[in-house]
Amino acid sequence: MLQATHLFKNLALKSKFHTRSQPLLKASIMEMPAMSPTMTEGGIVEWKFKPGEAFNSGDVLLEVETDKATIDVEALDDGVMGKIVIDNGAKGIKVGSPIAVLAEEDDDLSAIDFDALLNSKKPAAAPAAKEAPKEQAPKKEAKKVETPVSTPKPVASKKSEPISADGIFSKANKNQVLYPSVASLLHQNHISEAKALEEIPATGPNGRLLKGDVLLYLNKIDKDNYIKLNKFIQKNSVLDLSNIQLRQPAVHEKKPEPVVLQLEKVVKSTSKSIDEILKDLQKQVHAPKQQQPSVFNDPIFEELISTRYAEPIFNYKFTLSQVTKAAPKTEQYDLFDDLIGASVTNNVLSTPVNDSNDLKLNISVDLGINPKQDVLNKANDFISKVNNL
Amino acid sequence: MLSSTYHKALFSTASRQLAKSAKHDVVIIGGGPGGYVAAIKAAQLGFNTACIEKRGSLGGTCLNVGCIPSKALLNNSHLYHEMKHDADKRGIIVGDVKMDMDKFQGAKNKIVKELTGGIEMLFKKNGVTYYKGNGSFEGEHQVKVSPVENGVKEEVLIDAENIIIATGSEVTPFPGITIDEERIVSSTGILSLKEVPKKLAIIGGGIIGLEMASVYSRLGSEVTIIEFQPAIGATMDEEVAKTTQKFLTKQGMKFKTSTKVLGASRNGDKVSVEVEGVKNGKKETLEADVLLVAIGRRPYVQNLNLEKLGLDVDKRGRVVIDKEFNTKHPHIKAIGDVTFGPMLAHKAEEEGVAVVEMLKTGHGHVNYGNIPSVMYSHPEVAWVGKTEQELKAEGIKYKVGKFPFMANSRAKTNMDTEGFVKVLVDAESERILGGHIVGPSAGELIAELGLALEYGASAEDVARTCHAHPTLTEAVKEAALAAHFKPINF
Repeated sequence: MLQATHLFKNLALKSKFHTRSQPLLKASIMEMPAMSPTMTEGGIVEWKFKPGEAFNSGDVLLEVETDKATIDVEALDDGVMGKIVIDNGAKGIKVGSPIAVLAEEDDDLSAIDFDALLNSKKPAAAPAAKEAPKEQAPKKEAKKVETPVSTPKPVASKKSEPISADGIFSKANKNQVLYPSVASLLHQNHISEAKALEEIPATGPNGRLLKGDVLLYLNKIDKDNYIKLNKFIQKNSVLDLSNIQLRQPAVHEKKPEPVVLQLEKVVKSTSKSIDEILKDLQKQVHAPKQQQPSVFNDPIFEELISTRYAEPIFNYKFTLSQVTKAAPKTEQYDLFDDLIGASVTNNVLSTPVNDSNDLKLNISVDLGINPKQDVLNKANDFISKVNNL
Repeated sequence: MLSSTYHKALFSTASRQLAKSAKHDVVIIGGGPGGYVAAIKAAQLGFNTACIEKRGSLGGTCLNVGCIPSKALLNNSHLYHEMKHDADKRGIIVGDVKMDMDKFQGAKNKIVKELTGGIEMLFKKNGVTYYKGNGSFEGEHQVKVSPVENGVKEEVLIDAENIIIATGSEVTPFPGITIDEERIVSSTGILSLKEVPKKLAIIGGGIIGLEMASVYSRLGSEVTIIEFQPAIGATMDEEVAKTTQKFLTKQGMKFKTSTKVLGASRNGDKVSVEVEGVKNGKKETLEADVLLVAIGRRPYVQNLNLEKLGLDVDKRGRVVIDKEFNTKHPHIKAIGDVTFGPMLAHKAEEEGVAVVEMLKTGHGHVNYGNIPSVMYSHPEVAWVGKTEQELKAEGIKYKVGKFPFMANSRAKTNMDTEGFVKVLVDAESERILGGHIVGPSAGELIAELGLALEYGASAEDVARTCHAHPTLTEAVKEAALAAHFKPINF
């Protein structure tokens, strides 16, 4: 007789019964295990524990008979035999059918409603006679199928689309070659490959089953942690494009550009040279604001303490050229007219155009990048003074 | 003869504004690892493809002044060092070992030339039109190629259905330090030094800095590395970074971590670097023959005329894209160093393929959680996935499996046993989350852990896979075994 060791894990129905009754919290249905990848049904040779008896992990719970061998099924966790559903000697029991109810050591057996537990289960296993559901489905899905309790495998059997709204689990790809860890874990737990691919939600690429998926199916790892882990991996698989701080294009374009004030104006030649006039104007805008006349106000002293005459805070450049008669002068004013208003325009337009003494003055003030407000004010003042010449 | 003079005459009479024009399905601006891979892939998928590059040779920074030339110098300087210092203990008498800097640099240049030439051949083979010139935007679907030396002779205006920006990155300058590529050099200049500097100072303890430190330290330079952070190695796992620093210190490099550079200036043939301790504020001046500034790289969009289309860049100059590489115009995409993500050639290559597949099929994928990094010092350092500090920060419970090369038979026979393999796995599911290797051939070994990561493998999967004996790869297997259960040989 072939003896194999089967580590059996309580298949808890925690999520489903959690909200119903406390005593049921830890009781779980034991299903007919698959002792080989090809096994579909088997017989129970002998239960080694009677209801109420406690067992330790590693104890042989029962002997199962397949067409090939009789195999010991061991308990992986400590517990108490709650109720034996299928008695000794039964044959042809489908893999996945409930065969017993296992409880935890501190459970009050008398408080457990075995029938309720099994009724919720029985129809699930009986009609399809295929595999009993293991409550691995994400909670949302589980709730949905709670009304038609008779659906055998709510999660896997229906659709092939992702079974979780989380987008983490997907239907296992039927054509995959199992990873070594997965194959050995399935073997140790007597889950057939076909059943695994049918029932276990996959998190690997292209529906590949991972070791963690099987461990979760076996309730050996914490589901919340597993979801958290998968979310973490998902998050890291894409570029983090959140919180992009744009470089402001408008500011970016303007800032590096130096501020240049420009003016083109027709002036009459006078006895005073344009150069001197402009220098004067520059001085004027730099001059301190006229104080109220006072005996305490000594203009010489004021001039001494002021450094501004010596160091103008802006510089200008200008060119002079003869006005040719054909030049359409009105057009030349247009740009600036917009800026300074109509009154000036009228004034300029009234300037006799055909006076041969007219000179065209082109003046520009380069203030550099980001000029200080003071500089900007004075330069504007200067330009408007030039314009009013 | 006659026809050629005729053409010349024709060209000279054609006025400048009557530029040549062309039409392509896909135009890629930049011929680096991202751009040239995208170009070849696009041509292979049946697009009429053009690639614009102004450098004069393809391959970008990586092939011309980055990964490739530096690896040539690293490998040859390593051989030199081995012959000079280790041959004896292996029972090999080599006599007088000397350096010939001209030939040393020449060997590197030859490799670079062969490889860049190779890409040009690949372009021809796959039917990619190659424009040697400066590419810039003229309109939403127009790209202008302007002449450069030895490139196109006149402007070409290209009508493009799709445009991929792959203009890469450039060296980030250090504010206040002028790079003359002679005494104060960037990662470009350091590759072509004519002689071995007696003293080499390096600003930046990242991968570029440490690789160049390795080259010149082996050739006899006294190397000092100045790093602002308390640890070297940028994004390395902290434990690996610490171990690496120990190994490099043993090789004679000096580290000034937590040290701020205040400025540097060249005085004749010397460079003086002013530094200040971040913690103690202690100032000092370091003298060096050569100063390498290696503080990182920044996106390169100069002369691209992005402003014309109002394409956004972020504060660090990266071209803003969405998850499908689209700029605000979906037919204009950006990949590689010029946009987000790590500035690595292989990341750009992946994106180059993905972006073109996206054009063809609407779907292209890059797994940014699985991009390996390698530092080609000796021992090498390589990593993929998450570091311990990242897992801690995220609150992921993890287990560590480590295996030292000291216990690996192949490393023993090679007399090259420094370092270890470290595998980080989820505490419960044992899914591999990160792989970190410091040791011989770490850059090659990391591929296995990358594959494992891609397929969501657990440590057990790697441990249950047969590895050849004796190989260094067994160290990876044993580390996985250690994470899963217990190693056999340690």
